[in-house]
Amino acid sequence: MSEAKPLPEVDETSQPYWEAARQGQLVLPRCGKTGRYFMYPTPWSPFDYSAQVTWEQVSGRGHIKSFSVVHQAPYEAYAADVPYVVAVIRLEEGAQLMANVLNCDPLSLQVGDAVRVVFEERAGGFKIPQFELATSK
Amino acid sequence: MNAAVCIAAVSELSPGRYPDSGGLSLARDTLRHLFDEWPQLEPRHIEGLFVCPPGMASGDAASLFAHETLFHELGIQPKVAETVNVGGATYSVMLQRAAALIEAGYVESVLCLGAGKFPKVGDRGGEQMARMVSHPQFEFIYGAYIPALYAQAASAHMARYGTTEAQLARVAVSARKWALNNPQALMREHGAITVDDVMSSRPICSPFKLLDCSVPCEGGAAILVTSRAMARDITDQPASLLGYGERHGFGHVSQAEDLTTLGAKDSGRQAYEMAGVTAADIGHAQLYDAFSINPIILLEDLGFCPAGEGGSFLEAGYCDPGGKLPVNTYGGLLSFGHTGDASGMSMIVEGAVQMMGLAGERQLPGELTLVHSYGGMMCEHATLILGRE
Repeated sequence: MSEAKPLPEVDETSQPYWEAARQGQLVLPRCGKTGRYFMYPTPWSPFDYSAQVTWEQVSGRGHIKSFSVVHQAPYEAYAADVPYVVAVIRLEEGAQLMANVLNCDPLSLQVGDAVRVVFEERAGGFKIPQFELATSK
Repeated sequence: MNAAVCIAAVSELSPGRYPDSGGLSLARDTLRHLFDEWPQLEPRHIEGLFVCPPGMASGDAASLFAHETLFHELGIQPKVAETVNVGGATYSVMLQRAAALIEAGYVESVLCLGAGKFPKVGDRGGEQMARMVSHPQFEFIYGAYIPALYAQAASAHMARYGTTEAQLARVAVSARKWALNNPQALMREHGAITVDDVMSSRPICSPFKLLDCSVPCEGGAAILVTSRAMARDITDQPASLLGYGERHGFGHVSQAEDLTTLGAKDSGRQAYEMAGVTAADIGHAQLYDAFSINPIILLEDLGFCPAGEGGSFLEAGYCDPGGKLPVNTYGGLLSFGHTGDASGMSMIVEGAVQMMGLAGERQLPGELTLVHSYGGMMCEHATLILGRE
C-alpha cells in the first residue's frame, strides 16, 4: 500500500481557493483596483497593498510554460506515479500555477502545449486543481 | 587595483561525509581547520561573525543561535554577529554585508563561516527537502522537489533558445575536467566523463540525468573579510573585493515571470559598475552550479555571451582548462561536491584562492575573477568581483 499524497495545509487566506476546488471550480484572487489576477493568495493585493481583493472564477485554460518529467520520485507517496509531470501552467488570465499534467504521454509533451484544468480527488474530500492537454496527441 | 576591503584568509574542509559531526560540530571542525592553516590568526582579528545556520538542510532547527555559541567559543565579544540564511547565496551576501560595514568604518573585519550537512534522500530526507524548497499549498502537493524545480528553468531555456541536452551535459563534462586538477574534488577519482556518459546516466527529472546534478556531500568553509590594513597584518597577498551586487526575485519557481534569465543580470551589473570593469575584463568565473543548466543561464546574464548562447559557449570549450573563460576551476558543485548549507562557500573560496595565489597545481593567471551564487531555487542572487592585490 503506497502512502497517501500530501494535502494542502489550508489557511484562512487560501480557504476560498480550496472550497471552490471542492465544487470543481478554479477561482483566483484578483486585485480590485488593477483587475490583475495573482498567486498565491495574500490578505492584500501585491500591486497596491489594498484589501480590495475578490475571488473570481477563471477559464481554466492555459499553456505549459515549463515542465519536467520526474523519473525518480522524491519520496514514497510518488513512487508509483513515475514518470509523472511537474509543470508550470500559465493561465489565459495571466496567473501561473504549478500542477501535474495528467492523462498524457509525458514524453510527448512540449512547452507551449494548450491545457485545461481538471480536478484530482484526494483524501479528506479534497479536489486538487490539475491540468490535461486541451487537445489529445 | 586597490580596494578598501580584502579577503585575508580562507579555508575549506574537504567535501565528503562527516558522520560523527552534527552541524555545529562541523562548524567547529571548519574553525579548527582555519586556525591550523592560518596560525597567525588571533582573537583581535575577528571583530564580527556571520554564521549560516549549520544543519538547516537536515532539519536541525536548534542552530538559529549558532552565532552566539560560536562567538563565545571564539573568545570574542564582536561588534556585529548574526546567523544569516540566504540559501546558496548566503556567503556572497555575508561578504557584501561585511564589506559595507568595513567600508563604513564600523568594523575592521568579519569572519564568515558555514558548515553544511546534506540529508540522505532515504529516511524521509527527500520529503523534508521538498517541503523546504516548495510552497506548501501550491507546489509541494504536486510532487515537486529540487531537481524538478530546477528543470523548469532548463525546459524553458531549451524551448526558447534551442539549448540541447548535449549542451547541458557539456557543463558537467567541463566541471569534471577541472575536478581532475583538484585533489580535494569528490569526483576526481571517478575520472573524466564524456557527453555520452552524462546523457546515458540514470534519468532523474527531465532534462536532467544523474550527472547533470551536483553531488550531495558535507563540508564547511571560513572566509575572513578585513580592511586592507588588517589584511596586510595577516598575509602578503590578500584578495581584494572590488565589486558586489545582489538581487532577490520571485519567491517560488511557479511564480517566476521568466526562468530563462535570473536576478544575476541585475546583481552582475551592479558588481561590474562598482568595480569599474566589464565581463571582457574578467579572467575566470566561479558560477554556482547545482544543476547543469545554471552556468549556461549565468554566462548569459553576466554578459559573457549573448542571451541564448550559453550552451554553445560551453560546447565550444571556452570554459574548460585552456579555454578563454575558465569556469568553476575547482570542479564546481557538479564535481567538487555540494556541501549542503555550505555549498555557497566553495566558489568564493576558489575565487579567493586564485586571487591569493594559493591554488597550487590549478593556479591560473588573470587579475580578476567573478563569483556568482544564488539561493532559494534560483530566486536570490549575489555577485562578487575579486581582484589580486
